[in-house]
Amino acid sequence: MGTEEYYSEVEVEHQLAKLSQADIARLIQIFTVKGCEARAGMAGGDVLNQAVTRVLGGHRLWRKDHSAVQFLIGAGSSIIDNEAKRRAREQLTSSIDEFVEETDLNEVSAEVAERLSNKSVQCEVEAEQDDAGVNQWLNKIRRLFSGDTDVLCYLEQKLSGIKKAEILHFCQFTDTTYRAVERRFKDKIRKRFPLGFGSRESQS
Amino acid sequence: MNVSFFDEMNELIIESILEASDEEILASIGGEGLPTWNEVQQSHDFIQNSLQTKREERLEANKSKLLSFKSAREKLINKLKSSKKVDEMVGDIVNVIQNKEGVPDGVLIAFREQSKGGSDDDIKDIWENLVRLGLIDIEEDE
Repeated sequence: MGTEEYYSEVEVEHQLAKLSQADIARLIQIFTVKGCEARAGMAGGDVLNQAVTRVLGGHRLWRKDHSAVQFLIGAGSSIIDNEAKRRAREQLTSSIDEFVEETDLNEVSAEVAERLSNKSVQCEVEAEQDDAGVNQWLNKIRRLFSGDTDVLCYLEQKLSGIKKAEILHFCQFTDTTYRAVERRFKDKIRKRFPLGFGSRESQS
Repeated sequence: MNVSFFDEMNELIIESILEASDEEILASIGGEGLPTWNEVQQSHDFIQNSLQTKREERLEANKSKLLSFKSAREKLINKLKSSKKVDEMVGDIVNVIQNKEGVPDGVLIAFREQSKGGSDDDIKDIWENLVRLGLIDIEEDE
């Protein structure tokens, strides 16, 4: 692990000093799409500020082949993921505490057995609810592109997990058409759904 | 399917954010669900202030290192000036004078002027001056 692969302390400062307002706006928007508010209860700007603090504190090595934006996306994503995990653990602990407080200890075994027996049913219900959520989002996307047959073809193939080479064949795209369709799709969903997808209620 | 679907869509949005021009990103600031100018400015100020603080801290640390180095060197010079034999000092001085290429002419002239007295104190002063100029190396174990 040669040190020349990574920026020195002073070089890191030079890189951060060059961040433009557009870069900062991009990063805040990307952290929002990554669910900083929904998953971690943090504003995008706060994630960015924490990421910068961690980088300046030397907690994360910065490879020279990574741009400032790329590098800060990685640092910010870790912060969001760690905070989301911490909150999930906290929630679980408080649920267990509540369960213990509210349950008659003599009935605990029966209660646990009852809950365990219902677990698979509960999982199935949750999975169904999740699928329903995905379908709602999918319908919103399909409506957004109604009339754009190229994008709809691209989307359906993507959803089936089909790779680019096969999409070219199925949708009868040239390489240039594929790139144009993908670009059109990405740009339009970015503008229509700036908060990203999943666990957000505000984008009806 | 749900997790991969959401992740894939979010990754496409992120790609689009990265590919958008600076002009487009700046023009969209303040739009619904997008960062506001206030948020962008706050983060910009936070980054600049953090960098300023970091630079000041490093400057202070370097200053403090330099001061402690100077103080230790001062103590060593004074210790050697009183403990080193005059003959050895003369030897050091002769070595410097013989190495004319590494010594500026002005120093040689000043040395000749200063050495006219020829007392032990004069030699000690010359030796000290040459040490301070970095022309004589000194070690702790001398």
